[in-house]
Amino acid sequence: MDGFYLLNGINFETMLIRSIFYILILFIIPESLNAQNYIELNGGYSSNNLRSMMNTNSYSQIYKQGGYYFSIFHKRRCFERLYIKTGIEIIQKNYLLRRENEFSGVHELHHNMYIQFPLTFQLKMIRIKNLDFFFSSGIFGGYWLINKTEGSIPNTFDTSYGVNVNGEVFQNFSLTKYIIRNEFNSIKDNRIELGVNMGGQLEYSYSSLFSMTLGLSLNHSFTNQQKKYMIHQVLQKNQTFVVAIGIIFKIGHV
Amino acid sequence: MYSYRRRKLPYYLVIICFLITSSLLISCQPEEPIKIDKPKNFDEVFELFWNGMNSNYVYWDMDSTDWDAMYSRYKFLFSQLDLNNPIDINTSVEYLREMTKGIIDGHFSIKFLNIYVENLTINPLLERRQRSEALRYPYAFLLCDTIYLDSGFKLGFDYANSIFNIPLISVCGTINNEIIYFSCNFFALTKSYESNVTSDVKETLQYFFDLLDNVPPHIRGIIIDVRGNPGGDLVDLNFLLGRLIDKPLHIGFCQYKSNYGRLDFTPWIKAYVNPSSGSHKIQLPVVVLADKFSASLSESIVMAVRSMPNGIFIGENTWGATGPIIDNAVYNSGTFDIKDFMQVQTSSCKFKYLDNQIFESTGIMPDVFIPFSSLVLSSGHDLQIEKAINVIKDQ
Repeated sequence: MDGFYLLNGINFETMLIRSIFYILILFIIPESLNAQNYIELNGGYSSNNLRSMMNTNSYSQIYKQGGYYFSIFHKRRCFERLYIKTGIEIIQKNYLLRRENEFSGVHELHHNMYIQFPLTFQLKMIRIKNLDFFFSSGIFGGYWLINKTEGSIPNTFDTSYGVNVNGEVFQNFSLTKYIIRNEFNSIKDNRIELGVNMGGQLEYSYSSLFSMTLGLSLNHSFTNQQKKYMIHQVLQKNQTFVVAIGIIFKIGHV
Repeated sequence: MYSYRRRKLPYYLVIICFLITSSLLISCQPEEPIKIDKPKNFDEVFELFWNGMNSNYVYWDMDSTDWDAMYSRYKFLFSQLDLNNPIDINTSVEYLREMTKGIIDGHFSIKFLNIYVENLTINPLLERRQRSEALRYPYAFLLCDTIYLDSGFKLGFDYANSIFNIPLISVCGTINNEIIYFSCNFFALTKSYESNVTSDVKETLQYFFDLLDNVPPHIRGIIIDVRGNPGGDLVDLNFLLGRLIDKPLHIGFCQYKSNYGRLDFTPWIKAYVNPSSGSHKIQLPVVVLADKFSASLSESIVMAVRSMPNGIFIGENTWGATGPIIDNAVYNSGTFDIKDFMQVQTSSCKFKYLDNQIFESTGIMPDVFIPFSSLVLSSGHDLQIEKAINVIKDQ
């Protein structure tokens, strides 16, 4: 199955589905319903950096790109100050390859959409009046849903020529633009992503049932964006910074 | 009502968790690949060659050569060789020949810069053809077919543009006052035409262009003969065929490397022949003659003529070197050097025709197959050109 593969003999798809099932169980255990439980909705901006040394191209750089971020979490209070959050995130992890100097104008912009399932621990650090500050840390598993590429490239077969003062012929390549929604290559593309996240969140309690949040987090992927299909393969990993605002509804009570 | 127990949180566990997460976030920096300039031993020659092919070769998604297996098999063998030993240097050539014997790129060749082996070359497609069939020598149609031309044809030589001491030669004339005929032995036409030095080739080209600009009413078709033509300057594609069209002619698609990885490719990009300034559309049938020694730009000419509404290809299967060669810096793919040891020539991008077929290594099949016959040629007949004449007359 495209994007899923055997990991030490274990079917990863089954693992992922089981993980989601166990997380969702938290919603239906009666004891959980009577604990402090919250539903958190967030929307925001992601800035992704593709960390790689693949850039052996002459006059070429990798640039961070922005994207959107949406999430829904179930948050549960475990200890006095410790909370656990699970949920679903839709996150864009875009990046830009751009060439410089005499190759300026040549670029390739990758739009990548992932669905992520994080498991995050939040520690309430301080509280000032109705404002709480949390420190969070955890892990996530993600699946690469969509890859769209847009770019421009010198076209070998779309040229004109000129003649310099010495009578020498030179060729001008027109830049051809393209936009394509890519089909994933089952040999090359690694659609499963695993990593860690860390961040902070401010919560303002507007009422006993409703809070507003502002959060910052950093997602760091351990897994290579490409499967290992060749010797001397260069690693390419996403590192995504997210800033999001949201609202929290209390659904359980002490 | 749930009674919340005020349990003490083991804060040290949480702090450890955060520290571990932080260290993981800032660790695992990608390693920068080691750059080698001039190889000091055969280990480095091998690494440069293997990695050079790994990232610059554009046919890995369709070539059956197992490049990782070559690494495993030959790394140790190369490490046993001494770069200062002429016998070992010759041995390395044979290893390289073995490694690349299955390469499908019709342009692929290795020329050696080391003095002990500078007379040796590796050309996998040529060597395969020599082993599998009785490969004839290229035939000089260019000078023989002048018997078909009406008097007053133009024949040009440009010694300033030569390859392997053979000058650029072009021929243009009419056949039975009904057909315009043009041929050249390789492509450096634009260079010759635009150079400051007056040459017969420029005169021949101008004669051809003048005929196209004002096509006489008795002309019924055009023959472009690229038999035995190994290709040349890509700029000649528009320079020559751009005279026959008035808007861009879509002839196929090109795919380029997008990055370092073996399978990192761009999407397929449309390939065009662009019209020359002031050109108008030629409505006449166009026949291109090509044979098994028509390669590279000659094959682009064949594909372009076939893309025309009245275009037809007569002759034999072409060579099978359809991917163009461009400076490596433009696409970060294609030809690369290993300093003071060898130059590896390979295509800069893949090309496929309008029907999505890739003719690399196999060659383009003609619409009308007329095999080469030295026997018939020695009697003074060129069956391929005679067929072209008949096809045009029948249109």
